[in-house]
Amino acid sequence: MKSNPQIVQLAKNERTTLCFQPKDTALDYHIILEQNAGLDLYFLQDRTAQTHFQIDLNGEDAELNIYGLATAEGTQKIENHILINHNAPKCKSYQLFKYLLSDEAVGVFDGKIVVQEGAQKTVAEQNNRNLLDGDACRIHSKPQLEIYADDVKCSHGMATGQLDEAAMFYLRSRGIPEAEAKKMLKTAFTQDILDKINSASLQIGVAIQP
Amino acid sequence: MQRYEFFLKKETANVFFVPLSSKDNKRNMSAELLDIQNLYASVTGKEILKGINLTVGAGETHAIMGPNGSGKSTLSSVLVGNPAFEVTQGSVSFLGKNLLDMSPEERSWAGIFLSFQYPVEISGVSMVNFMRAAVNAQRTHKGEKALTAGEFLKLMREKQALVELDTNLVNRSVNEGFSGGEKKRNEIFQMAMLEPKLAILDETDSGLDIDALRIVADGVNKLKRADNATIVITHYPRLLDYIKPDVVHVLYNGKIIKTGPPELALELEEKGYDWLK
Repeated sequence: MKSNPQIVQLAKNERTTLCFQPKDTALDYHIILEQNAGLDLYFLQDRTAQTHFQIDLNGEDAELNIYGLATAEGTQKIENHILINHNAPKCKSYQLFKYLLSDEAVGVFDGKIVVQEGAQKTVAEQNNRNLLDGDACRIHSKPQLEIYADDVKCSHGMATGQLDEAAMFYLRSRGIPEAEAKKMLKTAFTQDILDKINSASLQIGVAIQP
Repeated sequence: MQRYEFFLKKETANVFFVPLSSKDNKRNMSAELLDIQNLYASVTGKEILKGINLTVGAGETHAIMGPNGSGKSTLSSVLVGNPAFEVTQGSVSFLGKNLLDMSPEERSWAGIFLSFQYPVEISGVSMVNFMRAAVNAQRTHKGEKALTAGEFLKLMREKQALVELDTNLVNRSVNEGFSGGEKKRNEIFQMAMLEPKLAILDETDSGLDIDALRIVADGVNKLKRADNATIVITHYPRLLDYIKPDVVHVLYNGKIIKTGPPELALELEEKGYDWLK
C-alpha cells in the first residue's frame, strides 16, 4: 500500500506547522522529528481522501500535535492511517481526530502509537471522536497503543455517537427549527478543531501547504 | 314537573363537575389558553398519565403538586412535545388549536415554554447564538424582522437583569459549567426572552437555595400578565409562598385527584399526600 512516501525531516529545535487542505486527497508521508523539534499537523477533509502517515519522534523532547476534522456525506470515504513511533525518551504526542459523517459516508480512523523500549517519560494521547448523522453512515475506528517502556503516560479513546436527542429537543423547544438545531449541534462538534486551525493560521500568517 | 327539575339538575352537575366558587366564576370569564381532555400518555410502553383533565385560562397560575412518580414531569414533557413520550388517548388544545399535532418548535412559536427540570448542557453552542436563533425563529414566524446585533444584545442585558444572571453569555456554552442556581435562572431568562403565553415550570425550585428561589420567583412574577398563564409543577409548597397560585391540583398515579384553592398547598404541607390517596 505505502509506495513512495514523501519524507519530511525536522532538525533539532525546528518547529513547523503543516496544514493539509481539503484538496489534498492522497497523502503519503514519513515525517521524522529530531531532538526538541515540534510539529503541529492539521487536517481538514471534506471529500473522499486517503492518507498514510508515519511519524517518528527520534530525538528527546520532540513534540507532535495532530488535529483533524473529516466531514463526509453521500458516498464519500475518508481514510486516515497514522502511525506514531516514540523512539526517544521524553517526547510528547497529542492527537485529536474528529469525523462528522452523514448519508452513506464511510470514515476510517486507523491510528497507532508505538512507544519503543527506552522511550521513557513518553506522554502520548490519542483521541478519536465521531458524530454520525443517519443510520447508513459508518465509521471504522482502530485506535491502537503499543507500549514497550515502563515509565510512560499514555491514553487513547474513541467515542462515536449520534446527535444528542436531549440537546436537539432542548433547542427545538425554544423554537429553533429542526434543521437549524441539527446544524448548530454539528457546528458545535467541529468547533474546537476549527478554532485550532483558525488560530494556527493567524499565528503563522499563511498555512504552510505541502 | 318534579322529573323535569331533576333532569335539569343532572345536566348542570355534568357541566360543572368542579364545584363552583367565586374563583371559578372568574376563570370562566377569562380566555381559555389550554384545554386538556382525558389525556393518557406512556413512556417506553409504561402508562404514566391516566386521564388528565385540566383547563388553564389567561391570567391564571396553576400549581400541580404530587409525590414522586405521579406523572408531573410526564405531563410537562407531553405538553412541549418531547418525542420520548407517546400520547395514547385524549386531546390537548392550545388557543383552540390541536397541540398534539404540532412539532416542539411549532409549540414554542404558538407560545408554550417549559422551564426544564434538568436543563441540557450543550457544549460548543454559545448562549448568544442559541438565544438569537430562538428569538429570530419566533420573530420570523410572526412575520417580524430579525433583531439587529445591537437590539438583540440590549434585549439580552435587560432580561438577564430580571433574573440577576450576571454572566457574560457571549463566551459561555448553553448551560455548560452553570451552577444549579444559574441553570434555573437561565431557564427563566429564556422565558423572559421568548415571552410565552403559557409557561410550565417543572420543579424549578429543586436544587435552589432560598436566595436563588426568591430571584427565580421574582422573575416569574414580573413576567406575569393578564394575557399569559403559568403552570407551576412542584413537590414542595415552599415555592408557592413566592409564586402565588390561583388553583392547586394534586396529581397522583397519573390523575388529578384533587383541585382546590391555594390553601390546599398548606394542607398538603401539613398532612402530606397520603390522606388523599
